[in-house]
Amino acid sequence: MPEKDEATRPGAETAPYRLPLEAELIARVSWLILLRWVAAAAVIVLTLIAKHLLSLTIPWVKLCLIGVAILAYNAVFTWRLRMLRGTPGASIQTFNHFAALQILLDWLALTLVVHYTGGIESPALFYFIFNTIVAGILLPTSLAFLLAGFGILLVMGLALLEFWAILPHLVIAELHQPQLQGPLFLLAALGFFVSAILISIYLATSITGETARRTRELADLKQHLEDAYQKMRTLYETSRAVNSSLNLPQVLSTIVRQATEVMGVKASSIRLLDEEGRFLEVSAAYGLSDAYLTKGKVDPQRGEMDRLTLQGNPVALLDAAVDPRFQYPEEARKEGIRSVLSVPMMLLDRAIGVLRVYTGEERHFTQEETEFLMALASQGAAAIQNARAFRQLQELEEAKSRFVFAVTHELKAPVAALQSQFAVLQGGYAGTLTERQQVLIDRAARRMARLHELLRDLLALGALKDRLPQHKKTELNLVALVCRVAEIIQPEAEARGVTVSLSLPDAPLPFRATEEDVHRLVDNLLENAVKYTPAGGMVSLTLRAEESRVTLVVSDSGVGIAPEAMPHIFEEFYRAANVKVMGTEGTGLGLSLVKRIVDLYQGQVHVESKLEKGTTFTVTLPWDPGPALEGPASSQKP
Amino acid sequence: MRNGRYVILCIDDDQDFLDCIRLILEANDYLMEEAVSAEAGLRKYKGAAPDLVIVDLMMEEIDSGMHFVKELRLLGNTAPIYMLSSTGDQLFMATDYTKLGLDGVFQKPIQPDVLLSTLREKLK
Repeated sequence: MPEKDEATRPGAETAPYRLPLEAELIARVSWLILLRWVAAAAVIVLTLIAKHLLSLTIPWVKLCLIGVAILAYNAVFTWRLRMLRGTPGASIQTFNHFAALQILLDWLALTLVVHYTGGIESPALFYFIFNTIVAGILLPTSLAFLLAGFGILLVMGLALLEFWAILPHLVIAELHQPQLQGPLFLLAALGFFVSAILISIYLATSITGETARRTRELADLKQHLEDAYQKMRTLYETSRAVNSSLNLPQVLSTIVRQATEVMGVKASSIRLLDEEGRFLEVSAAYGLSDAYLTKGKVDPQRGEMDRLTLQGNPVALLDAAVDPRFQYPEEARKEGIRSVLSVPMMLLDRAIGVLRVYTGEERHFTQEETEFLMALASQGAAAIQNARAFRQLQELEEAKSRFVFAVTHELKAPVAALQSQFAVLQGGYAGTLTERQQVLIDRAARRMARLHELLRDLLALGALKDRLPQHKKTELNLVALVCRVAEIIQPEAEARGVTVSLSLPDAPLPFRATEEDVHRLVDNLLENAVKYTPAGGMVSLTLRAEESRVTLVVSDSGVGIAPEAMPHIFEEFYRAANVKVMGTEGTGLGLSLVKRIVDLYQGQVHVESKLEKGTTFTVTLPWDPGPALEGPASSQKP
Repeated sequence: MRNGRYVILCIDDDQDFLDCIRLILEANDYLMEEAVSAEAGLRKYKGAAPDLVIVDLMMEEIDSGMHFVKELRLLGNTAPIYMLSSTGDQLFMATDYTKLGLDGVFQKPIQPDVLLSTLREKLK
């Protein structure tokens, strides 16, 4: 039916958009009007046949006039329908009333025809059935019954009026005379009866047929909507997966799986162009056997389907086993593949690969399915772009680190040489220095020492960045290590007038790690504590082991860390304002190194501090105690 | 020894560094022989018969320092050998130096007092 497909366009001159129910109603009403033309014509024609061919006694003029009247009011109805069609606001109610009015007028006309062809004995009486059927199917129940009641009243009224001789009873004499009860009567009676049956059946099936068709259409539409909804959901989910995961293989796997499930196909695969852009290699597959996936190189030069796809066109094959465009027809047959749909994966207007779905039976892919697959493909391409961008970023980051490391390394030797030369000068080995020379050289030496520290820390940082967790781990004794570090720091602490106290477990504390790392960790924390504590202050270090972790607490009574500095203390080169004012030197890398080492060992570091009161660093590292030590009441050896 | 003075052989590819050590050593009555590569160092060793050897761990050629130490051992060397180590070099904490046939490690940059006190200890 045309109404359903009429779309609303701005300034459209065609009918406005109608809901399916409305559209149906309009269709019915116009069909009714169409039938009426035929009915009106039939009245006139039959009347003329009856009068002039069969020479029956009927008021043929009046009957023809009724026919004409029907034609006339049908013309009015036609015009009214056209008007209603063009009115967007016309409600279902309006159309129902319109239909009812038509049926009403039809019955009035029919009543007159019945009156002029014999009243209650008229063969045309049956024809009331038709409009009854139409009313019953088209109109709401109450209205239908109302009309039926009206029809009954009309006929009853006519019958009674004729019975009471208020109206004449105009029987068609020829049909009721005994000598004519022969063939003519039989013919007429049967003719009316047969036509009544046929017309009734036509009316009923026509309408119900249409209804059944509409119902099927609705069911199809519903299925269609469900499909579309499911496809939308799939696209939404894959879009989320693409955006939330940098795990490219996982994302591509999700895509092929979704494609297979949503499209109801046998299998799906993604193939990407290799580095030279020559062959298509499998990146993800679902529902395909290993044998099929490793069948050989997919070469777009030899497989026309792929070549076409890579040019940006989706390609569908009905039967891969016999289609010359498919590169491996034999393997397809073995795998049970019949139809294939292949779409390009586009990145910046260039195809980087193909997304294919395979079916087990012949299938004609619809435009919608192709569009859906292309949408999935573009999500795959987006994921690939993300992964590539991320990898590039990583490579840049690594290149940057390597560069910094290399440069730092190169600076080591000249700085060491300079420092040696300053040491020689300072020691007077190149001759006695004047006081001014001494002062200047001391200061230069100190600056050089800072530079040396910076290089040392940068190199350590660089080494940690590139570190693999398995690097050079040994079984350390933490207690001994801490003691060693404390020993090294002792002279400086004394010089600054800071007391360092240790609280360590009695027994050795075995810990598996790279010695360098742990040494640096403890050293940096201890050194910071000492450096930033004024004379007379205290630094305490506590080491303890619990069930599955080791805890190191370094506490000082030093200058503290301001709240606004707290979030930044582990940043590279960050030095809080208060220590800069103090004049104490530092590279700003000490805590960055601590954090990096703690992270490397999957531990945690926690800071608490109060300005002018002191700071406490608590480091916890996961710890595997190793085989349980035997207690005093140990079991006997076997 | 030569002329009553201890002979110290120093091998380092950094000439500036060698000059610094020379100033320190000669001011303290030591004689210094120098070489700028492991190869040259071996030649000097054979000719000078030093009482103590100081060799840089990280020279231009990879592993040349360790190679040199091995060579000395093969020659039946009895003089103490000390290595020079820079910041971040492999020989961290130098706890394993004895296993490598070394008597000790000096950190770069040179600390004159550490150097001198060690020499005084070792060469009596």
